[in-house]
Amino acid sequence: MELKLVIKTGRSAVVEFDDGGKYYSKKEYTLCVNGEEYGNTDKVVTTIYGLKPDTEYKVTAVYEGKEYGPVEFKTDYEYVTLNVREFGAYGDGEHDDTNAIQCAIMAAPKDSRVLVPEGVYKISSIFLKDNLNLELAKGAVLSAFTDREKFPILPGQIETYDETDYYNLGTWEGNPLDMFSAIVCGINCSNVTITGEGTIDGCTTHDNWWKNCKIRNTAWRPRLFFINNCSNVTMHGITVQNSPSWTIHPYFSNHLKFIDVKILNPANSHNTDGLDPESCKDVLVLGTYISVGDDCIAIKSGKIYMAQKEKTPTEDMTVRQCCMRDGHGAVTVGSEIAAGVKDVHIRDCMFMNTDRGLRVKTRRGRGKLSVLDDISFENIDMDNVMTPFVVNSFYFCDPDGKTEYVGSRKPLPVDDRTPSIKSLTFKDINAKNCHVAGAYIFGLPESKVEKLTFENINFSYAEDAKPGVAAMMLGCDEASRQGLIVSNVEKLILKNVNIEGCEGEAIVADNVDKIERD
Amino acid sequence: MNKSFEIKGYINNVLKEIGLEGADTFDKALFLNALGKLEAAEHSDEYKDVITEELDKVIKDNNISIGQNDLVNFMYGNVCYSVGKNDIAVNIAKQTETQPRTESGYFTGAEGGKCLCVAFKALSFYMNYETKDGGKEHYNDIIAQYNALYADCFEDVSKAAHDGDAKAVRALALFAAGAVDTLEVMDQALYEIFARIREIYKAAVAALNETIDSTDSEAVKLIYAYAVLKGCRMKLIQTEKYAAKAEEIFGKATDKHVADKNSLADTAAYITAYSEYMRNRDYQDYGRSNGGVLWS
Repeated sequence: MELKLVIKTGRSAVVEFDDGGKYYSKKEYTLCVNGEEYGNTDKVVTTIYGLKPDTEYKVTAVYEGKEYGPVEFKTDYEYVTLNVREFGAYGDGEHDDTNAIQCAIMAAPKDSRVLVPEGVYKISSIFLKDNLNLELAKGAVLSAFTDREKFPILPGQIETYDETDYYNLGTWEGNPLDMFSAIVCGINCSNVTITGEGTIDGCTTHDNWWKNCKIRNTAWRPRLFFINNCSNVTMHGITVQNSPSWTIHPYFSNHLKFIDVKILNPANSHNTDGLDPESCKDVLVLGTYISVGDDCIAIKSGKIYMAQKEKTPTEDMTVRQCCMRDGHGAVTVGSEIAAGVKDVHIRDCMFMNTDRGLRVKTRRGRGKLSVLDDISFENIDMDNVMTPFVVNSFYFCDPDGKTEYVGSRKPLPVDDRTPSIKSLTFKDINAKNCHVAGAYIFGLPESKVEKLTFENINFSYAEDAKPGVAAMMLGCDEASRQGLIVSNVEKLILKNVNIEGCEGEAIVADNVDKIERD
Repeated sequence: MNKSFEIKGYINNVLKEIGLEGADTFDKALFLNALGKLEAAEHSDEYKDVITEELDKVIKDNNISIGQNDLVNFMYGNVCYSVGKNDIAVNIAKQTETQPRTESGYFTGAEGGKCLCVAFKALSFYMNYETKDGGKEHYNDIIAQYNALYADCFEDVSKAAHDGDAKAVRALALFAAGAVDTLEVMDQALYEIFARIREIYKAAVAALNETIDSTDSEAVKLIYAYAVLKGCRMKLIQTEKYAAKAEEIFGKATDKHVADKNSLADTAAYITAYSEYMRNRDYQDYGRSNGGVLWS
């Protein structure tokens, strides 16, 4: 077993046990910091809090008398702490503390810490700035108001004075539209860390933001955390919950880390995706727990207007050691992926009780820039996932989603509107207690999935397999215990794929040019 | 100044002194649409009876009885929506399936003429219907028509307007007004369509800015003012650059309408511009909750 340092700040450090576990470590270890017992952990990725700045530390892990490690590091230098209470925040769950916290943030010099101590701080929307280290202490809750009139609006597009371009701030489902500012919001800022054991609570219920949520009311719903055109942003340790819409939404931002974050939204909440990087580069999601009402992670790159204007795919993304449960999809690619998604790798994760494991959602009309390439899933355990793999190129979203153009199973001419999928790889995956199908893969007949690989995959079905609809596309009927349904693929590679307990043919391949199997 | 009182008295006088009997079908449709826009601006149903009464005169068998494939029928579709006669509007929309088209695919009138004014007469209603009742399935047809119309006519009409052709200026004004009306009622989920129509609208406004002074038609100037003020409210164009000229035109027209007796066409155009002037001021002052744009 190897013990590694993942990240450190002035006050905390994150370590990772490489003992073969997925999200949960195989053993429960006792962590020791400078020889003193810190506590036990059964998670692969664990944060150590309560450290002092600019101090040498030696961390070890002990299991049944055997010591692992050490990892040695020096915490970051810290110049000053700005306690938001000193800036007038009440933290009593009643007063509006937005201004006091914002004041502390704006006053913070480089290498400082803005500390939100224990207490409930009512806020509407606070804004991040460059070189900020915001710490939510244990028991600290940034508790959001839910009144629309308290929230600023981020306009979707503001025309430049010379009328040659637009400045984009707000966004909604892939288009540049007016939105309420997020509860925690960053615009054009760099080098930001949000850390701690505290919570950002959107306080959303079906009586406020989730009510009539498909209708724009003044502006579209806020995200809980939104960063636009930011870089070097790290979030770790904190809990984010009850989001008005997508929970964490990085937008045209690079070099992002989400480590040991807890994302919690009720299963019946609307559009409360966990983490939706949109047109972002270099994203790490590590040791994060996600239980939400929609997709746990949804990777996006905008709809066609933004894609054609900015041509920015989401790329270079890694998701490791995460637990995703209860959502529609564990990791979804789409549906707003008009600028493409590439080089995305999901490994060492566990998916539980989601409708789908991998969910690719695309459709005709996303455009020729919508290229999905080099997406892999490796070393993943799935339990009670209705359909582990769904690739749906006929997703009937958007106002024109149910038109003949989107839904036709006949090949249409390839043109500027045609999306494509190049390489998808699934390897070392155990999917038990499946319900609907092992895999449901539909490329476009005129733009087939170029290469689809299943290697070392075990599918088994729940005894009481529930029927369901594998993919939101016209012609996909309710079913259960289906095997691998594969359609419109150029090259299908099947190595050591075991399907136990399906009904009917284990593999149904239609319009597949070449099948390689052992 | 109590604008709503003044406009109410003004409209009542017009109805009394000019009336709608025997009026040109386009002018009448423009007038009824103007009343509908005014109601929306003032959040009232002051003119609902007038609109309904006039509509009832032209509705037969749950459809408009003006003329087969007359583009003005579509304008009545918008009137129907303004007073909640959605079922009639849906029937009117069936005409989109049989309406004659040019070779490049956009609607023409029954006589087959090509005109930028089709945006105002037909496409704004087509979009209104598609958004409200059509399932948005024909958004692609609408944008295709805009593109074809623009490619086919815009350059020539703009040139003619530059050369002082009053009919061309009128066509441009109706084109701009039609485009902005179309944008108002569309679903922005298809933003690429929205952005393209916005581009077309801005081109029309730019062409009008250079030519509007050449026309003597007050109605055309007021339709231009309407299109510009609405574009400012909807943030399609910049208020600081565009609104002043439109407001000047509107101000001069107000003085004239207070003093003189006017034609139904001028009156209809004036009320149309007035409604947007009211909404624009409302938006500039209290924009947050009074944007009033019907994004669905």
